[in-house]
Amino acid sequence: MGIDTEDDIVQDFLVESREILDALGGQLVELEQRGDDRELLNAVFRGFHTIKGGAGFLALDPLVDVCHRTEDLFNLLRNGERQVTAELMDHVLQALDVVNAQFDRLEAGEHPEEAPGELLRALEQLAETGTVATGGTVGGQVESLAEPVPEEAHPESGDISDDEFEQLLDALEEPESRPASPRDESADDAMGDDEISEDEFEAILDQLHGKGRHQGIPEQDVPEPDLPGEQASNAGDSGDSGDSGDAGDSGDAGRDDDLITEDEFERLLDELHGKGRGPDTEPVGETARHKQPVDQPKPGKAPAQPTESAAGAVEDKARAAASRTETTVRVDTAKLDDIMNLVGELVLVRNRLSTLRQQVGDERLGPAVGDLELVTSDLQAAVMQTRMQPIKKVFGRFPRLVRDLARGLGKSIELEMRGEDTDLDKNLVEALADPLIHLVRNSCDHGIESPEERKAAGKPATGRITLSAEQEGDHILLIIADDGKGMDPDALRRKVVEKGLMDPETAARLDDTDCFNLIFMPGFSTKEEISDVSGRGVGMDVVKTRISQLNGTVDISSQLGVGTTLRIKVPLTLAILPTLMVTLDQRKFALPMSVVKEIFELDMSRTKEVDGRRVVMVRNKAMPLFFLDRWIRRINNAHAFGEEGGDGRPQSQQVVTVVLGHQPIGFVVDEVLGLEEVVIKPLGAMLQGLPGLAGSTITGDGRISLIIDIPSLVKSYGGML
Amino acid sequence: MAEKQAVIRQQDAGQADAGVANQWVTFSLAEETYGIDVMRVQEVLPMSEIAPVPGAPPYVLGIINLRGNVVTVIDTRMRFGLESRETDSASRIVVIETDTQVAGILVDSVAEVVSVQAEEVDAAPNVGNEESSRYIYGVVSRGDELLILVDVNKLLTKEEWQEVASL
Repeated sequence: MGIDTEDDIVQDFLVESREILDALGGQLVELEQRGDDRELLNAVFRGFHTIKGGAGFLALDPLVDVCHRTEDLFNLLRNGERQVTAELMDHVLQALDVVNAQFDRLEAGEHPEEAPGELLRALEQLAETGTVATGGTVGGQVESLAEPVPEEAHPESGDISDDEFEQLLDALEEPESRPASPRDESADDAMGDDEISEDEFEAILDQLHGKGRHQGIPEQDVPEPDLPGEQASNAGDSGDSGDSGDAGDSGDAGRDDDLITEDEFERLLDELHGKGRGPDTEPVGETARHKQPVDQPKPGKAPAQPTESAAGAVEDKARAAASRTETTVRVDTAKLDDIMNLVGELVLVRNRLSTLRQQVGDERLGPAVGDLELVTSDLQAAVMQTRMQPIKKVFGRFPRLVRDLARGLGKSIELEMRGEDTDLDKNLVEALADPLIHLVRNSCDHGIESPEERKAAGKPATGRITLSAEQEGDHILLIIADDGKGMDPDALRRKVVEKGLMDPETAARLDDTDCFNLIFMPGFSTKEEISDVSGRGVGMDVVKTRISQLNGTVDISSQLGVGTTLRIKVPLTLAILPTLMVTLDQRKFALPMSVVKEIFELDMSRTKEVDGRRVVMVRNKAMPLFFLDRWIRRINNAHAFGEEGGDGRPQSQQVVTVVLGHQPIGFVVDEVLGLEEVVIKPLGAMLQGLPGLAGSTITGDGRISLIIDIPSLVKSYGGML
Repeated sequence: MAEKQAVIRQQDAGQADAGVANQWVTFSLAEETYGIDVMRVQEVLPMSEIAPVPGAPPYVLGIINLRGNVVTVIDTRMRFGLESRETDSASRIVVIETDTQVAGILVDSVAEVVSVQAEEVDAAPNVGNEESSRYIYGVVSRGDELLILVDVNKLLTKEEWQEVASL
């Protein structure tokens, strides 16, 4: 049986689940270090629980099976009945892989495969017998508390028990009684009574009304549970997460007229969706329907009921997530691009107005144009902001990646991440994922030594990889540093000669930094034997290319025996490109700033003809010159740029030095105008893929400039100019 | 030219009520009148600065800034195998959209919108030069005037253009 991946509901489920799975990968690895972190255990439990809920709704039984068992296991863990062990973690990670694989299939429109039976059995066994007996601190209390939780929150394999079904039916049949159901249940739990009296109902509403921040409720004189820690965190959760507001809301609603209106009911359901993934009003989203109402009045009476609060910590968090989703909207990035476009136009209009203001000299115009300028800038910044995402999205995968690699390679590696909240353009986040993964793999594989080697070298057995991101002006600086064996420049020199990529003389002339950069050469891999992890020689040059495509740069520094540091610099956004504006034949062209190294005046007397190619001497090194105006004239058509017979060259020309690989090239332009940040506009379908052009842009005066793609220009035309 | 348009318009008015009618924007190129399906026309722009693109195929004049969007402008005269000429104040860029792209075509002038009955359209006669007949959807003859209906999708197909470019 396939599944309709086009369906919005399925789409939402897939997207959200993927996010959860990404997060789970990191959380599980963290858990290995901090196995008793209750917060973390709860988070993992919640993750599996949410996926299971959605999968149950979509009748994806294989998914439900795995998630259900894993969730059970984590339920025991977070209640302290089991301890996190390496064995357990292995199985849980395996389960996560299975779930990931199932999602792969789902996304391909296929039905997920059953999880391997042995894994399911192993998970069950771990839950039943575990390796460690029940934690001492909570004792019997927990035992009894924990019992009802799985029953309620996680009905076997996603089916609804009769009781639950009854309740759901009730809820459906009389929507007006909705608000009663939460009270019903909580009162139930709290007082051991089947019915809630009018008075009690009133009292609860009163508490809820307008002040969701209540922590304790005098009337609820059920003894405090023996889980103070849990309680505290729970109470904190409900306070922080902002659901208190919600609860107040629904309290309000109920109070106005003891009956709930259609709208309110809708809203309640909406709230439930966010959490339980039950996308419409069918009763199937059992977890949501069921637990949610219990939670509704929760912030007011959180401490009242032990069982509830144990589960409550989870539910509150989930609800926090739910209320967050209510305030966010998924927007197609194409729409954001359109908005960016329009904002760009607005900026141009503003610029025109500013010029007009000076010409007209009417002082009444001044403040208005000034305001417009301010608002436009703010608008531009705000629209940019909508495209930003934290780099956490990429970083999130690394703990798991490093852990698995370390295990596979028999190394011990610790990963430290910094600056995960650094925001950058969404496209950039996605585009950086692969290069970064490759570099981290490299660090694990090539950088960090085996524990024995490390000890022999007098270093701690555990290697350390630091991954950091920070904003530096209009750039993001990403650093991947390891304290591994570092790189030996001489070994690299030898290697490049052996591989026939460079002759010995050239190699000998390379300084150390040049040597390190050799690893970015196509066909260069230093590892003696090829490993699964990295090292087929296709990696690093691809990484470099990818980063250059993002208008970024990679720097590498290394010290033998101490470690290697890679510094990646990418612009904050792909939408805006810092360029150097130059003129050629009276037209403006933009050169991406990221490749520009220096600018100097062309002195023809210092140029020579070498092999039919003009070179200029810079600091006693010959640098080939590339006459951009010739490029334009040569490949141009008669109707375009004027034909000056090549002699209309201005008196003075400028040379823009660009470093491509190791080779600096001087681009000769008529005039350098200065730095301008431009918005890239792709060329139309008919002009796509023209060599030498990266796109176009509209300059401040409303005219069009072409953005020159230097690598492709040199590749296509380098020989003829 | 204006007279010619007027003739078509009068005839058009006379037949307005019969059968299925499509509306066509008429433009002229080298004294001939052509029509483009009005649904394909996004807007008509006065001649503005066209920025040439180095390395572009010869039929591409360059690109223009259409309120923040970059639009490719093609040389319709070259497309139809006509002599190119200087643009003047009557020259217009007709921005047309196909299923896949938006592009501008440079024409000598734009006249009006006419209604054409489906049964009025004849298959393109095998006259005239070959280049232009390739993009013609049909012709409408009214009196001694001929309105040539252009198939916009074919006009902007890259493959077609590549053929032309290689001629």
